[in-house]
Amino acid sequence: MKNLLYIPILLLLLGCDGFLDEKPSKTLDTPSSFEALQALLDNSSTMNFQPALPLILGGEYVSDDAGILALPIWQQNLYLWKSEPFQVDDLVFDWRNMYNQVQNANVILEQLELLPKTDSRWSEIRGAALFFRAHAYYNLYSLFLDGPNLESLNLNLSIPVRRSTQISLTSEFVSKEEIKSIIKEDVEEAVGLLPNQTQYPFRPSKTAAYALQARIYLAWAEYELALQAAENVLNSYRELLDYKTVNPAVSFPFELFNKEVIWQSRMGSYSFIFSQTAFQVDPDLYSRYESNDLRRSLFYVRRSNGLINYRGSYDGSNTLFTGLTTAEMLLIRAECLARDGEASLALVDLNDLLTKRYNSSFQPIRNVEGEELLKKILEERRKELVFRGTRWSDLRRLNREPAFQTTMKRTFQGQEFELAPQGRSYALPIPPRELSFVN
Amino acid sequence: MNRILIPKAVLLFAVLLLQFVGTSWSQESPNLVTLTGVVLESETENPLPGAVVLVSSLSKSTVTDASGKFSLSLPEGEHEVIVSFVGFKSLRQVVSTSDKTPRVFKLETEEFNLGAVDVVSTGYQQIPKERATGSFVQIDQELVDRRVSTSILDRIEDVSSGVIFNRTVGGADPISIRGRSTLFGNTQPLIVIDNLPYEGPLENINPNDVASITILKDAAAASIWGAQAGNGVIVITTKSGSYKQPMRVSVQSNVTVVEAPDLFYAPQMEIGDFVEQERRLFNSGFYNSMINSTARTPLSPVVETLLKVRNGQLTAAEGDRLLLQYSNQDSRADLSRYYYQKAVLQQYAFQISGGGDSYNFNFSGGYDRNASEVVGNLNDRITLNARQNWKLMKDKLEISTGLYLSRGKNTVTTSVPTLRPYELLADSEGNALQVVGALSNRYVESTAQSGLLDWRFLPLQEIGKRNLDVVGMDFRGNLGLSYQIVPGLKAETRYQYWTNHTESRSIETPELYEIRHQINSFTQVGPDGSLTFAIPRGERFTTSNDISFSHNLRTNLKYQLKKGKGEWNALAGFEMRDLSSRSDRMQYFGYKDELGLSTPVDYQTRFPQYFNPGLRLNIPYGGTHSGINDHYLSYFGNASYFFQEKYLLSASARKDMSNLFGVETNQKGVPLWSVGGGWILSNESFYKWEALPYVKLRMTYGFNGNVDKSTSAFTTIRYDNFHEYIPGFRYAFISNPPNPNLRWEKIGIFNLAVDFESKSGRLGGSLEFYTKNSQDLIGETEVPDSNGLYQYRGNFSSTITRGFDLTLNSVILDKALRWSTQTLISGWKDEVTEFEGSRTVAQYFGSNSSNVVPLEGKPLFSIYSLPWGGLNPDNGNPLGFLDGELSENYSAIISTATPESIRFHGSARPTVFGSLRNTLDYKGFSLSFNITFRAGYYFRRSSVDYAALSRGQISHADYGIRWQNPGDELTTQVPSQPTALNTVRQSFYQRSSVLVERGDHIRFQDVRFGYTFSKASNPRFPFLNMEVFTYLNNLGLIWKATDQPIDPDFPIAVPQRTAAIGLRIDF
Repeated sequence: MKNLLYIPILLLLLGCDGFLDEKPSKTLDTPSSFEALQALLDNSSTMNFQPALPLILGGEYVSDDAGILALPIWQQNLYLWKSEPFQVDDLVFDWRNMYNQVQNANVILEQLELLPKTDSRWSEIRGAALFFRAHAYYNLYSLFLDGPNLESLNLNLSIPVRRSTQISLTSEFVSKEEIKSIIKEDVEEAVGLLPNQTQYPFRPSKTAAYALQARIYLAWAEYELALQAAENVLNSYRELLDYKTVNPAVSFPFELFNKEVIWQSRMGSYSFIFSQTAFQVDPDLYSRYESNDLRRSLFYVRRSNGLINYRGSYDGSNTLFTGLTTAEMLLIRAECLARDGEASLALVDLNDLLTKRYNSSFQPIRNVEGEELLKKILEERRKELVFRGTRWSDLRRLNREPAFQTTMKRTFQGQEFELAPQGRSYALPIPPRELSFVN
Repeated sequence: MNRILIPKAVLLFAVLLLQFVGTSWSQESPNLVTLTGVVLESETENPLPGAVVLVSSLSKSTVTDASGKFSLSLPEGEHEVIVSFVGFKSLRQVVSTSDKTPRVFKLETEEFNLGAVDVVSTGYQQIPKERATGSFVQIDQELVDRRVSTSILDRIEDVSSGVIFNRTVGGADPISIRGRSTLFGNTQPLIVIDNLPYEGPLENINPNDVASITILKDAAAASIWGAQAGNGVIVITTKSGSYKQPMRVSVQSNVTVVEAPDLFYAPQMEIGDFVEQERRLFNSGFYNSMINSTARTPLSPVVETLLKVRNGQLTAAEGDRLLLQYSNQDSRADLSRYYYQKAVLQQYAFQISGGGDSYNFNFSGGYDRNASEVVGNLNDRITLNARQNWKLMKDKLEISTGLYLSRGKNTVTTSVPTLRPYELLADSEGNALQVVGALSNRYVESTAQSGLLDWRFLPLQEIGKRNLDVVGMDFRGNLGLSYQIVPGLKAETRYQYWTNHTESRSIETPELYEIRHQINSFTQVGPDGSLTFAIPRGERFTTSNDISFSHNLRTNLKYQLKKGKGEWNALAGFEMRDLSSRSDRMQYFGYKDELGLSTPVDYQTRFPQYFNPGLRLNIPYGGTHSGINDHYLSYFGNASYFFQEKYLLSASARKDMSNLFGVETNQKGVPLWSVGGGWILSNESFYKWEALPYVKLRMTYGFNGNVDKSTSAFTTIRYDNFHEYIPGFRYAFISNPPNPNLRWEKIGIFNLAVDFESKSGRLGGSLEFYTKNSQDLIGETEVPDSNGLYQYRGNFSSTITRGFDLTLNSVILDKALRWSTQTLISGWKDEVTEFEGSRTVAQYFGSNSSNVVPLEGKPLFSIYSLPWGGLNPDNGNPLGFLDGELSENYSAIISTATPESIRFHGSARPTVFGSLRNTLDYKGFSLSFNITFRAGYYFRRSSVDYAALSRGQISHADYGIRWQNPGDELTTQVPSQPTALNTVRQSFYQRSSVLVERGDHIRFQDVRFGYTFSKASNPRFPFLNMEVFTYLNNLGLIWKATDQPIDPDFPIAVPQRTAAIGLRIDF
């Protein structure tokens, strides 16, 4: 019977050998390889995503009363620029999702430190994570920090910053200066690390990082830096679609990943975006497109019931595109040059773009300069970059300048609501849930 | 115990007392004869107190008193008496009542053979209940068989002390044994079948194969199961043969009829009122954006009618006539008529068992066939069992084998549609009617001539047209070896292989609306108007395969030593478990079953949808694959010492380890232990109380554990391939944020109990008190959004549960008519002692019987509310309190609420519950009925939801008694209908104290009535025994605290009454 007693001993030895180390689930993994980290970056539904709040606030569309009533209360409040839009129960996904991007980027950056830097994938992954983190903080900045002339109100605006991947019940709040320096450093480093080109447009490249830099510096009215970044993009890539060759007969004229797209990203899909009546183009905006402007028919569709809806997303669908394009870079460079007094150079960029946007009757613009030229460029910027959420940061930036101030108006149930050029609502309050914790 | 409940508890005690007093009222019946005698130890001729004297044919028994004496009243004639005592060989003897002299039964000691009665099984050992220190509930064969059910778990409901079925909670947390001891970890008790854990679906266990069930409740009982025992352990023992037993055959059959469900049970507003509401919404323009929506939003028939009137397609009078017609229709009537029926459940079983000197066997088989309450749906199950035991090598080696096979099949041919409240299924001639489907009826009509498949939804034509079969095969094979190395030392090893293969096949043809809708939606129109089909016209075939298997190996040494007046029992060993499963699902289009062919489709292209070309969708890819691997390795040991037939000591220890993901091996384990002591007071020489000849005190303390394998200390990610841009492209997301402090849950249990039995066994039972200290409970905590998530899982709380279990067995009459009762009363109070996580105040209002929102000092499951200030007499607005003043500023009321300012009503789960089961036997007749009660808890009832109404959804019947005119506030508490949507007002009302009700109730659970013919009473009867019985279940409420017309435990659908008849024959 001695043999029988050996069995337990034998099995104990077996037990030590990896029996407790096996992975409990097939789809589970730790983010401890380059492949895993790349897969986290490729989670486009989380990472290549921008909030829809700027769209709701930006005044590019109007809704009928029924459409407003169908919105959750906090979205109604935002649509009407009310000062305290959020209740403590409201789950503001756009807010959470930006921090989700930050958390993912932080996890990737942390795990990357444990992997060999000699591997060529190391810098590409670090660059991409920094790009996404900068992008997330920039979107938060554009909604919750700063605004036209808000300094005078002494609001002490601040938002949480995430410096570690550990879950925390108390957030560290920092000012806009600190967030700006994080964004600046992240995108600067990303430029140095990212490869010139990537396999898919949803993965950021060096060009994309420059383009993001250009967008951010423009929003901060740092025009010299914006000009430099836009130069860097256009020096390496400046493909434009010729709208004369785009077929207006299909439902969505533009293809996903078309050649103007430097980096692909989408806006959060709120249900009003799919409604004809709740998402009509603002009549004033529509009236700004001249009859020979191809964007009039490629960007918009007139329904049989007379409603006019946007259809020009570079996503090739109802989903709104928010990524970076060469056209945006040309407009940034043109504006910066014009502000710098380089009228003729600015006009080259503007005409380059517009010849691709108007039909063949288009006559290049000449002999404009100064504020008139700037106005012209800003007008084209507004018509080109529609329904991408960029209008909101343009309003915040331009309302500081008396020449470009805009007062926005919307009506609901016969009542008129207004957002003054330097209204308080240009900086949203932090969703109260963030601050409501019992402990 | 909860103070509010004391009157109720007192009442129940009073009832019990009456029963106890009742015993002295009973009169000697003339045809009964008293048999008296004494039980002695054969060697020493010392009396044996506490020995059991059983007359098996009459199921009558008694226990000997301190001097070993007993008396039993028996009908005149010959009876077989079985005398047994733990540690002694049972004695069987036929006695005749004509001999009036006192009998002397001498029992021989039987080394290491435990008595046949009152033995509890821990799954490791059989322990005589007398020598156990732990807390057990035993359900014997008779009690297992009392109820008629397909599922084994039903057999323990309402007959096990301290065990409650969480009726309002459902699937994830079906049973609580002595309260909940985890927050969000695994809530399922461990199920052990024939000594080894069973991971398969319990539906595969045929209750007719079960011999007994033991429920392990405290640390001493369960800690041998270690980290899996945190939620209690249910040990199921299946029937087996015994050595030297003549062959026995038994067959049984029963049929249960279940009432059709009552669709009118949940209070619903008048349909006419709802039609009016839709009219108001229509007039306010609510539907305007949907009417022309590109998504072809479906609108109700009422709205379509109003639209026709507005567009001039109908006159106002025609419109009104139609609306009146809708007001008088009710879809629930049609659903009841066409879809629901009485369910019929049939059960057949047979069993053969027997044994020789060195071999015994038990073979059994069963067939269950359950025709569902939904027309055309069916479940059936076949089970086959074979258990065999051999003794070899001069009885030193025992080999046991068990083979268990089960095949269950679930056939679904009909699914019940969701209808608008007034939609009918058929016209007066019985022709199928169209109902609103996924798209508006106007749009559907416009496509009639487009060459598409019929886009109308006619549910009645689809009855019986589904083709879904789920077949599950379950197999367990057991091999056990036990070898007696030297007397007293035994080596045992057990191995079990279990596998379950469940295959699901669903073939959906275009006869189903769902399929036609999908094919039509993906139909592409060419420039010339020609149609192509991205999803081919044909059947959709969905198949899934789930395969699980486990290996279990346990090896241990058992040691028994009797020395002087003491007896040692020890056990030590180890256990390994490897559980794996994998699951694969796939979907095919354009399938032709008769040819076995399917058509490939293009998953990459985003196809414009036919009804809304602006919407581009990929063809849904139906392939998913998953797999899990759980490994456990445990070491365990226990020992007990029984001294002078009076004193008991026990101790156990166990260490469990598992392949928890992302944890260092040395952190994967947790050591758990228990100690216990017992004192059979009545065996002390100074104990003289003759009325209570058996009293035992016992006390235990120890730890059980629980593990949540879904959480990890490290960051973990999961892969998926439903990529945003490139179908099938692999990406990952973070499934678990880092948590370096993750620990196993640990539950410290203290148990103090007294067991007692009165002279002649008239009254017996036990009273137990316990505390459960649960530490490091794993739970979700809310976190600020800036963490990138809303919730996070970790060890955040500790709770303490204090409770008692009282079991009282009494025999009120013990004559020709025997009346016995079992009373079970259990109570507990749990309290969160520590909560380091965080919650938003708003969430406390979401706390209910299934949703834990921990708050220090309060029960885990609690009901909170905002204080109610009545209705505003001017406008019927609900009133709350803000800074102590009545207020309608709902958002301020809600946002300024703090955990301190909100009202705490009480526990959301019963804190006192129990049952009173009466059994009456007369000659061959047996009647048993069970009355159950639950008390000390609250629930939040539903009421009219004006927010839902404003979205065009029907709501609660309270709408009919809402405030409408000043003065109504005196008779109603239902707020007026607001003129404009006001979600904060609605949310205040739903959270207010006026909707909180007490859940206390008494229920008439069931009745069983049977008659047994036996050879013993009639020698010419062809069978040994034959029982015919009827069983009625879910008989209804006797009393409830709330005035609301709902059953507190079943707010949505009340359990249907069932009636069963059955037959059992033993040959």
